[in-house]
Amino acid sequence: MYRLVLKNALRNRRRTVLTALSVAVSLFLLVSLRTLTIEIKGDSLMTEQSTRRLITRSGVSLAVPLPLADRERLRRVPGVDVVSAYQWFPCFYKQPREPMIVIGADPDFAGTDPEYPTTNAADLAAFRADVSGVLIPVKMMQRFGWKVGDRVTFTGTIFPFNLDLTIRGTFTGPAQNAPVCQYRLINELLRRTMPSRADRTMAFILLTSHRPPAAIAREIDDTFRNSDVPTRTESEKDFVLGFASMLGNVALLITFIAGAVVFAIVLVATNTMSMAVRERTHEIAVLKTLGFRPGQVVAMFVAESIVISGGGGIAGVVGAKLFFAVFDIYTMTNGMIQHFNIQAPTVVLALAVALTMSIVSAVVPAWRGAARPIAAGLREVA
Amino acid sequence: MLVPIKYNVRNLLVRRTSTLLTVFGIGVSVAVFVAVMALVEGIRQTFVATGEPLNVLAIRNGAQSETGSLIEPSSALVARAIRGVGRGEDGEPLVSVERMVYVNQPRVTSGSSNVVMRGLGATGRTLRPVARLVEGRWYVPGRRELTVSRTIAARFRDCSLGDELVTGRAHFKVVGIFDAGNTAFASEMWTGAEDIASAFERVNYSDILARAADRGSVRSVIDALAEDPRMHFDARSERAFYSEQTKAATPVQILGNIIAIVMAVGSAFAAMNTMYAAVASRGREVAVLRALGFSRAAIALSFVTEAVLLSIAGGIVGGVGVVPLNGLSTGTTNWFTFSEMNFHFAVTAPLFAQGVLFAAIMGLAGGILPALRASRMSPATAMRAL
Repeated sequence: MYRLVLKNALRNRRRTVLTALSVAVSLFLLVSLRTLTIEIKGDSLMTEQSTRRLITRSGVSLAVPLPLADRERLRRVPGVDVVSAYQWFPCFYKQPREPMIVIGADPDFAGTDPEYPTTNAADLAAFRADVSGVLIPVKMMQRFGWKVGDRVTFTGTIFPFNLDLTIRGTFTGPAQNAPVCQYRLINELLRRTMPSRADRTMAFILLTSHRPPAAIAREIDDTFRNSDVPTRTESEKDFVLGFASMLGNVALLITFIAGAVVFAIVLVATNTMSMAVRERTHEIAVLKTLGFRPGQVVAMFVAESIVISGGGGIAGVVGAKLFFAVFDIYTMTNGMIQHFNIQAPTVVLALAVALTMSIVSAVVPAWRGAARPIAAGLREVA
Repeated sequence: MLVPIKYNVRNLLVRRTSTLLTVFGIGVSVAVFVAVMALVEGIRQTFVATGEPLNVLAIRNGAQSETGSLIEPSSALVARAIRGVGRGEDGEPLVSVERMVYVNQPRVTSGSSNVVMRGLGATGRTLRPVARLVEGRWYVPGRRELTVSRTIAARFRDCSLGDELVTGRAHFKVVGIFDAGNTAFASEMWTGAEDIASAFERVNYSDILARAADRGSVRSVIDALAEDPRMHFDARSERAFYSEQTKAATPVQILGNIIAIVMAVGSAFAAMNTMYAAVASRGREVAVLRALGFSRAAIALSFVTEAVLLSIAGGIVGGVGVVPLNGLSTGTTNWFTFSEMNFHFAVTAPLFAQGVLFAAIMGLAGGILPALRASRMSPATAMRAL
């Protein structure tokens, strides 16, 4: 019985291969799209620690900076271990078409957080001692071929100055996103070029360890409720999720496309199976003459479909895994998409889709074939 | 002599199930392609439609957008006295020095996004005649009032007529709704420039909009703004500025193209499958055609034609399937302005044609190999086959 299924699947080899390839391509796409929707929500940044890092910013939006003097009040809030200014410096490195961000923070912030591990203590000390030092994510070092000690210039796109920085060290960790330099330098340059914006920071970043972060966030926002600039404090995780929600319908759109992809493969597979059934009208009649029940015949076709589409499905999923392991999405998108981890649930989902559609696509044509009276089937000329 | 197309059409009709399944399979690919392109086209149309021909817009040199531009108050003052600028009925120069912030506001549905709040100068509205008041009245500068675009009012909380929008310490009253057609201003809320300054402690300006007196002086206004060494302005015609913002659609376009290409490969395999089956079951017909004197080339061409017909049908089905999306309005974040942009899906005739062409290419790719196989069959063996 199993051998017959396998033999049947391999009988029309070209068709089997074409169908399997078609399914493989579609599942490759499905896996990629699903991973994309997960990653644009910043999933790879979502670690346990990211719920313990708090970001305090103006209640209005990031466009309204907070006075630097708020730092002292934040330090006094119980449960807050480290407070640092947190200023994005939108810029580019040589290529205006590839915008990026450098983060300005207090020197004692970098290296304190367990998720920003620096390569070694000497580098960290060198960074803290140099006001124009910068720590670079390892991936970015590789992308631009930089070495520790190199001087790099980031051209500002919002602020009217550039940052001339010396690479003092590297860091790894899930927050592989942006170089970290000293806020002090940015502020100094602001004082010179744009005094009205100096001594203000886009936000503060806080490290907490022993109190529930939500309680700390509430206390901070209560403290600042009646100040000049009321604040909004949330975990870094929620901060990132907020950006994802700004994307609005994009995730929904991608989900629609994924749905269309699934629908398309069902059509392709149904076509293949109905061709297989039509070709074997004669054989089905013979099998039934030999005593096989229609249910058994249907089961045979379903099994064949599972072999073909399941094979294609596995090829697609493995293909996607291999593809994104070999080609680095970070380099391909010029750093726009930082991570592309194909997670286990995505793989399971894709294989479940392949299995379901292989069954669905076989049942209808097979049942129509099997339900035919033996005499009619035998009379048919292929 | 060529095999009549009627032969292909009838063949497709005879093998109904297989034809329909393939047509829909290709249709889905084309639908995805056209839908994504309609989205890109919608974004493009919005930006291309924004701006008046005589207007000149200046932002800080190097800034990527108006919201990312910071102009010192002193530079802004210099800009008021530029030659070549037109004058309004009251004799005042038609220059609007503006402040823009974005305000994080909850959507009516779920989540939140940054909405642009533009603080206009006294002549700001005269310079943008596209915005028409449809409900309530225009804001009065200095009274913390807002006139909100219709799309924003519909999509965001506390933005409807009569609502009070509270952000930070600032309270704004929504006193009117405007319609700015299908332009970038349809994603904005308007108030006075000084209201932004006092509400958000923001002294820096964002952009300067000036109306040239006539066509001839557009260039000189641009040069005057761009070349003044005291300021660091990037000045362009307003239309050119917004056209360039179309780059906001680039990521969507790239993503769409990749998806479309991968789906097309899958669909081409499917078309190939169908065509191989068609060739295999028509061995005798092919033999008869050869016996009647049709050449190998004519037979190959006939099968390719059949594949292309099949896929064009798929292209039309896919294109038609997407038409209901036309005009559907949606919003996402423009990463260059860091704020909400609203736009409509625009399913245009050229896009439809592109979709059908895209399908035809899939058919061609899927049809060539089976057609060659058909043309190589020997008439004698084919005739003998059952």
